[in-house]
Amino acid sequence: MRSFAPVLTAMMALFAGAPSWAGSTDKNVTVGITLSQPGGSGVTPVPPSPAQPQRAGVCYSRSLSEKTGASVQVVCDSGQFVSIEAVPGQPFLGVHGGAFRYSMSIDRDRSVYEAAAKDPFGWRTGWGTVTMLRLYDVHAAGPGDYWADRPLELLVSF
Amino acid sequence: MKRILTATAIAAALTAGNAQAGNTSGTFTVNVTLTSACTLSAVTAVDFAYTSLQAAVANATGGGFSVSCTNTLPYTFGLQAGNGAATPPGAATIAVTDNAVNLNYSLGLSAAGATGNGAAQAFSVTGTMAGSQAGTCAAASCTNGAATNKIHTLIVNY
Repeated sequence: MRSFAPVLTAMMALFAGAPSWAGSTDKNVTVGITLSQPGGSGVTPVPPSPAQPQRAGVCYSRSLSEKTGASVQVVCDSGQFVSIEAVPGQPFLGVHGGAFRYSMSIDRDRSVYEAAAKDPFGWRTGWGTVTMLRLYDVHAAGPGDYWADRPLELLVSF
Repeated sequence: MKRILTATAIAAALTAGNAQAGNTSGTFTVNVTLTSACTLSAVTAVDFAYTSLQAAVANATGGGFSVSCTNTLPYTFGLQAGNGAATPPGAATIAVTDNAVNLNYSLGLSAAGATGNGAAQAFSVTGTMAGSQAGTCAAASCTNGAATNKIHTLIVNY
């Protein structure tokens, strides 16, 4: 019959080697994280002024810069903020088509915009639904180059 | 008269003197039971500042705490994710995904433990956050203030 003595001895040695804490005490550790967007200005978009009452289901934006290629952040009535911007150094072309709608010209007649807003399939996206604004250089690049022919404003609906 | 005064003085002196017939002595033992203990200070918050998709590892600041233990009493530290009841001895490091900003981080300790010297000994909870994490943030910057898993437990075992 095989003896279990060596096994028992080994187990006892293991138990003897285990730490035997007399006690313990503990405290909470709180972890705080601040997550920032790369290159983010920290500027928070603001809802429209009282003259432009906020409407449900609509996102609003304001320009953070009027420089060529500037991008803006938008705020929706849900309280979520959305930032759409080009990859640094890359053209911002990927937004055309697909789920996005856009206007290739600007119409400063608000009544037209508001009328268009009632038509979800209109060629314009209604006023107040701007989710990204891209400003192009409005200065003529040369003879025959007219700024109005360029896409001055890009409206994105989502 | 003078003779009476002298006799009175001698009698008084004899009365004031130590008139013990003998003495004996014994010893006694003083038993002291010292219960070793450690006290742990509050732990300052462990703070991360992270820019989405940053390449470099982010190291946390804060996390300082002090331990006071009985002289010569060895003790070790352990960490436990969450703020539930402590289950000693805890782990040397813990990995956590913050459920508010969706960033992974790990917490460790500046030392595995030490030996008490009766005075406060300073240590810190360390934190690292790997680079190239996007995180979740619907604004220019976010904090994990709403996270439900931002509090963890530091355990001192002795």
